[in-house]
Amino acid sequence: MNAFPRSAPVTAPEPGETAPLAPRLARFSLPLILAAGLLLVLGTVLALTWVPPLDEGFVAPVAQRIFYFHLGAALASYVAVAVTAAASLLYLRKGDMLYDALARDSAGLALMFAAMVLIEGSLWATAEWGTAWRWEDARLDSYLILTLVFVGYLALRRAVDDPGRRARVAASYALLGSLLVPLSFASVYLWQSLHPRVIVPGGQGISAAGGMTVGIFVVAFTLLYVGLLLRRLDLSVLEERVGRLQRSVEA
Amino acid sequence: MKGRTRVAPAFLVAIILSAAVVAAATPAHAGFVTGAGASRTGHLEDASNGVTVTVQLNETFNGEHENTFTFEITGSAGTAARAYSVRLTVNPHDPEVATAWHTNATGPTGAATTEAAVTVPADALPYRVPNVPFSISLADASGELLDSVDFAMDLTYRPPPADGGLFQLAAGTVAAWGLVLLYALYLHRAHQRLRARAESLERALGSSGREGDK
Repeated sequence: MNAFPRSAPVTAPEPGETAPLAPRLARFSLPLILAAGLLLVLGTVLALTWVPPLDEGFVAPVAQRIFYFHLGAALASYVAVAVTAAASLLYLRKGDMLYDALARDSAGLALMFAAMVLIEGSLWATAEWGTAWRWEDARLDSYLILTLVFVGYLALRRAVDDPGRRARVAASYALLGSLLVPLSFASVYLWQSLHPRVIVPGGQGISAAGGMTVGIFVVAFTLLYVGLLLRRLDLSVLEERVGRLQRSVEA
Repeated sequence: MKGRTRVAPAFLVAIILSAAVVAAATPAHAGFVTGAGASRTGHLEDASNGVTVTVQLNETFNGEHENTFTFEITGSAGTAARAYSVRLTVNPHDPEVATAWHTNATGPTGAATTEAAVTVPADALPYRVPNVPFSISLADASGELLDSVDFAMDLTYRPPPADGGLFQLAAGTVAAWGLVLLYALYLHRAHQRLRARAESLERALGSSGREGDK
């Protein structure tokens, strides 16, 4: 795996290009993704067959098991946005393009997890509430806005040609957009919402088995996020190198 | 009477005064609810005009369909025609989520009955929640509240899936796994494509370098 990034560089990195740290970290991506895959298989089996339903009087007790995927993916998306914000801040302070690439790749993963959250949430709501979406629900709306903000982040990056300017504008935008994470998280406590509150005294009626399954999914999705991020970062380095080679050949 | 707790007279006066203030601030509403099930009825009145208002209040409210509440405004011998507003409010004591529907009507002259229908459109309350607080109220043309009464209804909506949501669970599981696998596949394919491109560019660069050496 990753034979190319470890091979001798044909041309030296140009100023402002991604540091060679990413290819070194990329070797951990496959073990992390495999570990995450195994935990996801285990979590899926436990969630579908072993965990008793929550004691919350859900009218669709089978669909309620979506909760385990939904929560794990939601937390992973928040982590991914937080990493995007941190990398954006580091880029603005240090100007290293590695941080810009990290922010972009983490934002892409945040959107993948967000898509998972929205699809699963809508499916669960269809069974539980009789409708896929409630526009009056603060948690649903704030999370959708957060997702659209980061769709806009990727669109913004495509709209700016100059790499330095693109990185600066995108970093500022990401920092502002990430402020929606605490708002989205706290929305069920600040406003009326039908969305279940996960952190409540008594734990929302989660049994020990349910708690363990939640833990497995949270760890699995976090490992998956880190593994895929390292792999995506390696791809970014490869894209850069191909671009550099292309310019050398043309010269 | 040694050892018995004695309430200070000043404290008693304070309690009486507080009760009097609360009583003065709260309008005396004579509204009430009778019956149960399909015959549950809400009663309101405008005693100053000899008007009584009745409305049928089912115990369940199906939010999937339109719901109409027909208020029957009945006068007595001395009743004069007067403009009224009848109102149905959900969560009446929670300003953040209280929602009301109302209609205006002119009451009867003398001992007669007029009807005023308040309609809640379909999907206005798309919830499945038991024992939700509601109120009905009667106000005059200026909006001054004449009478009201609280009651509760069970909100129902589209029936839950008979299988408990098995289809949704299966679709959700497939969606989660599908998204992860699609993203991993995209990364793998992009890696392969770029690596092949890089190797061909390296070869092109190497061969042009050798030709340059010759």
